[in-house]
Amino acid sequence: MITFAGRRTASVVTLSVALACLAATASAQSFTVEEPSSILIFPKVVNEDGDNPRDTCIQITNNSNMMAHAYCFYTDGQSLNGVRRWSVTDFRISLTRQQTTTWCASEGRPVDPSDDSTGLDPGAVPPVIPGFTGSLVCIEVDSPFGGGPSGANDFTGRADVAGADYNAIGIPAIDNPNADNILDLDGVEYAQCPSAYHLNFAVNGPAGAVALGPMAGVGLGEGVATVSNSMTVVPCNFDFGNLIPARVSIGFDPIVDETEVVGSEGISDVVCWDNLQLEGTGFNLLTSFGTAQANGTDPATGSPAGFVAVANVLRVGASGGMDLATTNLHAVSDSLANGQIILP
Amino acid sequence: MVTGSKGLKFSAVVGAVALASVTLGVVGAAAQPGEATSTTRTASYLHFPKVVVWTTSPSANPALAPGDYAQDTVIQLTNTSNERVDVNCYYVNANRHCGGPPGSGPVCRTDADCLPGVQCLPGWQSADFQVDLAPQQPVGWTASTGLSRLPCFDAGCPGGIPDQQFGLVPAVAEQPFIGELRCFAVENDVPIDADVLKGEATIVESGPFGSADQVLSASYNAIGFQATSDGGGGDALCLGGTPAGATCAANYTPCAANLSVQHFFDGATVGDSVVSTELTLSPCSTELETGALLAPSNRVVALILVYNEFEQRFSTGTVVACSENTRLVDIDTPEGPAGDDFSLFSVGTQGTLGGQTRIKGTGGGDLFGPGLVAVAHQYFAPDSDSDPTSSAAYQVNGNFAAEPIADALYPPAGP
Repeated sequence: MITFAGRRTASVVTLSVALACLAATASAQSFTVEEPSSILIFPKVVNEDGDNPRDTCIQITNNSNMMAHAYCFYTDGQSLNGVRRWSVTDFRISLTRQQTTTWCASEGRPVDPSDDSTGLDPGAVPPVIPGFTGSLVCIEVDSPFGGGPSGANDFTGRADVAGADYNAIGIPAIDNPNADNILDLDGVEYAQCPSAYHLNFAVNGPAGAVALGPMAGVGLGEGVATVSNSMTVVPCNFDFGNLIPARVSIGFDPIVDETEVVGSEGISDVVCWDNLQLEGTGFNLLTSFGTAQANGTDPATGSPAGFVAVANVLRVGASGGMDLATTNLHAVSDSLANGQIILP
Repeated sequence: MVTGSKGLKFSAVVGAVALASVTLGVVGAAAQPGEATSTTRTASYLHFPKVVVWTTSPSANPALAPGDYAQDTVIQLTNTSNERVDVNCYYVNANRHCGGPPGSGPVCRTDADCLPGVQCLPGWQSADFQVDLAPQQPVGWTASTGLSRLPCFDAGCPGGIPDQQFGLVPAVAEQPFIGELRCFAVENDVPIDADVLKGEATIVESGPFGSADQVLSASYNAIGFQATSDGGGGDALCLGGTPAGATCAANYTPCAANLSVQHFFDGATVGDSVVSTELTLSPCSTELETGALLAPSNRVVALILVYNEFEQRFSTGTVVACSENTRLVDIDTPEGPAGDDFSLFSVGTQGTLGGQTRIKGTGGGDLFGPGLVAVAHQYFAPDSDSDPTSSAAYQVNGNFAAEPIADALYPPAGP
């Protein structure tokens, strides 16, 4: 983390130069899925029952040798009659030095030393409701009972969604965050969010599975029969204080196949949370593999807008067995946009 | 690395583990994002630490048997720029074989896989190839088959530039195969600053062989090293600095000073599934001598601290000489089920579902560095006696010290 400690005796000119350098450095900073951060975003958390039940298990780790605290928010983005619920549930956790903690969204984690969730309970983690499809955001704070944002960059996390894992998207603090309840993801207080990602994919349907061998006669036994792709999207603005859902428009341009044939796919408006099925005509390629650039824009202004996302690929076998794989996405260089988190 | 002589190697690292207790617990001032390896930024050099293949090919030795899971790895590599870029790639075969080098006997993991009196010995080999990627072009292949020609080989790309596209991707040298893939941007075989590459690997499994009612898939992003500056006309790709005695052809971001693996302990019941995890560790520094049997030119001692949810800390260690893929519970116990219940990575030993394992590489010696990269691969089964019904891979976290560690990758000297 960049601070100005030790520079207090510097001249005004030197300080100005340092500030300029800081701004230049900070502007290039963005999210990370490897390094500890002060904000963790889990864009995909589901608790689905029915014929194909799916739960999400969360793991968060304090990477420091000091106790660290987080203020967390589940946001339920499930759609009822075409309208997103945007229902927010908050809770707080505290982790001792180097401690990791684990819970599954369907059950949460009560403070109960005698239960099956052994280890030091991090605090009361509530369960989410059945049918929950949404996100989890955890923000490092300097006190277990309130307090302001902390820029210590201590946390890493990962999520397991019914056997498909991804790393939490970390937004590192850059300068020491101020004590107000507005967290600016502007490249100065915290890192910015990407407004565009590269997405590699195997094309939907049997064509994407051809490359997996069985039809060539030398492959995976009965092998994989079909492939389907989706992308889970969360806007990079969270107004937990006023409960106003954020919006972002997602378009895919260009979409390129292995012979450089270029296409595109239209705009999808995402309110709060969505899982976009990548099945439009723009994704119907003539080759087995393709790449797309997912671009986020503000629906009101058309200017670039930040968002976080993970890619999902469902593979279904010839005998009906299936498995989902989830991956973090590559950001497009220099495509960054400001975001904001407003705390209650 | 887990071998028959692991006990000796392990004793060699025990003393160092105490040091690790100090050094791993103290995280230096973190480097700023963008100054470290990343799995979510385009880069000039990509490292896929885990590539596995074991299909129904008649050449597989040993062949799949009832109960086994067939495996293949789908590699996707994309040029995200509007300029053509040449990419040099190297498969590293990390198999062991009964009796010696590749071709001498079947692939094995331990002596128990070989005939009585025959040892299972390591023998690493690399195989190189070059692909010429058109602007914005994605290319995908399965490691079992490769690509006999690139998509635009015949008459250029119909959707883009008309130039004929050269290059091919060979199939992996043998099956079963376990190893890694490393690719970097070049111009006239010289590494260049071209942070335009991205890659993903998907390990697809089908089985159990004979019934094949399950499909498992696990994806991870290649670890990307961004170029930082040109070299001085040397022969090495230097990562984070210049190891003693090395001369750099190009400079790249460093490997993590230590790795942090968040995982469930083996045997933990998470939701409705019992979890087990494989961890692949690979040295950042290595020598890629095409076609030659490689002596392990670089051994990294991995110092390991395991934290559970009680804030308790345990230590162990292992030696990594090449890409090493092992179940977590086999890091500190013999390979196979024996002793697994007493492993530091067993839920029965730790008593908590999840844990954090911090890994720091040390050693490396002249010309090489101590860096490691890793990827974790989880399997989920209904119970501990059942076949897996799902799998997932994920990136390993890392901490990047203010003073980066220095590693070096040595491509072959040339034709």
